[in-house]
Amino acid sequence: MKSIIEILNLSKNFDNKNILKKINLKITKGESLVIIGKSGSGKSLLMKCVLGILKPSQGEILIKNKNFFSVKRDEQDLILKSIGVTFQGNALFDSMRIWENISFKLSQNNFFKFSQLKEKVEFSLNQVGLSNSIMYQFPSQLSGGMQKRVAIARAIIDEPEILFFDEPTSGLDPVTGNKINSLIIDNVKRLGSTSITITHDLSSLNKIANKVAMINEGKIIWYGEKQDLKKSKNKTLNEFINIDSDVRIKT
Amino acid sequence: MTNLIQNLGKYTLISLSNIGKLIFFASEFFYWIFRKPFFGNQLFRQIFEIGYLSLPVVGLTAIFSGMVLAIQSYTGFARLGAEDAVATVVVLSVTRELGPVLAGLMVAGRVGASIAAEIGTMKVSEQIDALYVMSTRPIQFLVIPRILAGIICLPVLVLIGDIIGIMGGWIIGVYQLGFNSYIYIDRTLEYLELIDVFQGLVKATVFGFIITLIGCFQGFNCGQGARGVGKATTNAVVISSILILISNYFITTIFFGN
Repeated sequence: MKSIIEILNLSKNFDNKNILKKINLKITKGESLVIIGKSGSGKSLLMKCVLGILKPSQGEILIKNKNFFSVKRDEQDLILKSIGVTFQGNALFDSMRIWENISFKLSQNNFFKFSQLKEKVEFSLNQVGLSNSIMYQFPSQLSGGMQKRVAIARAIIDEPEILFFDEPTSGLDPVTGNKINSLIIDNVKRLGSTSITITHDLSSLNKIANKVAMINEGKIIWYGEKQDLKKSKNKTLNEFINIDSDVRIKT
Repeated sequence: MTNLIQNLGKYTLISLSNIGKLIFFASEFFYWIFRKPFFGNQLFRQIFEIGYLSLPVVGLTAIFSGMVLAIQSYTGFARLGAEDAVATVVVLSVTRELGPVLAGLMVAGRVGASIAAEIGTMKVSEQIDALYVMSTRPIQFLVIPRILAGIICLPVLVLIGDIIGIMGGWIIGVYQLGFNSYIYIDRTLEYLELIDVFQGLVKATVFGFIITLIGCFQGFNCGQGARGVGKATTNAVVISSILILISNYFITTIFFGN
């Protein structure tokens, strides 16, 4: 299968401390990869390196066969245009209304009339199950779950080829978290995008993934199909995926 | 003793590194200012925030400074029998020094802190990362409109502050010290030269650049969490205030050094 993102020997150091250690990962087109790992294992850092927010200390990142850090900024922009991202804390712009947040990427990179933008924003809001009535509100006026949905609406508005979700269910109750997981699956399927989800939430892993990678202390310690997870003899992985059954309330 | 030298060395290196980062940050501004896209709507928003919303604080500072200056110079000059010089002292002090410096310091407190806090919060809440992944350069979207707005607004604020400050002096001169209104205004205009106002506006332009540049720089380089944002805000006000006073000396020397 053709890979859309290729991470080769990626390392990232901070203050001479090696945080990401020679990461190798191939993500194929249409795949739904979930990257799991404990807090502080380097999951979000890996995402930031792939998105070009942080420059790796070593290694290469190929997105659509282009080395992100050796192409010109215009080409980097083109690559970024094909990517939609939701951040852990949503990263909605506080000073902008919801419609401005959602249409931001479109309005910066293309010329649209207000009516066209409004139509696209309304469509995007509907795709994440939100009413158009919130368009003129500010992010601070919405609940955490609604803000997550707005962040997803912003990520999918220009129908990107690749979608990144950083901890999409963090801070949400299980019911809302489950709805967010369903929204991710529905939209990724509708757009035919490749998705990379970073999470430590096992329900997200079960629902979203077809491929799984586990990071521990900056290294990929397991990578494979979701159905092979339980066959793994990796102690750290087993400890991580079995914790859920330990804490489940027995009735 | 060894610790003292070590610490001195450490802080010298940190300071030099920060100066280097600031120079690089300023050069980024000059590099990107001439490149597309230009966010005009952000510039207008910043002109409103930095200019229009600073008017009350600058106006109040100017009027009371003018009033105090009139009283102080009257009581001082009365000892020498030179009360007539009050209007001239007020107008020259306000246009050359008090107008730009006080407006600069007040705006540094209001705007510099607000810029550092806003950009710092955007940084810690990943909003700057979000801008970047949406193919928008944070320097073009956040920094250039703010610095341009600072450069545009400060001279206008200082000009308005000058007029209000001179008016403050006139109110005290006429209604409290018993000067004839016509003579006071005549004395005000008699010794005022264009260069006095012009150098005040040059100072204001430089102060506008300093306040917004330092505010943006501190915001972009703030540490994590609320503590990081708080520290960036304090640094923005303190550093820009000090730089205003230092640059004020140099600009005054350039204009009136001889």
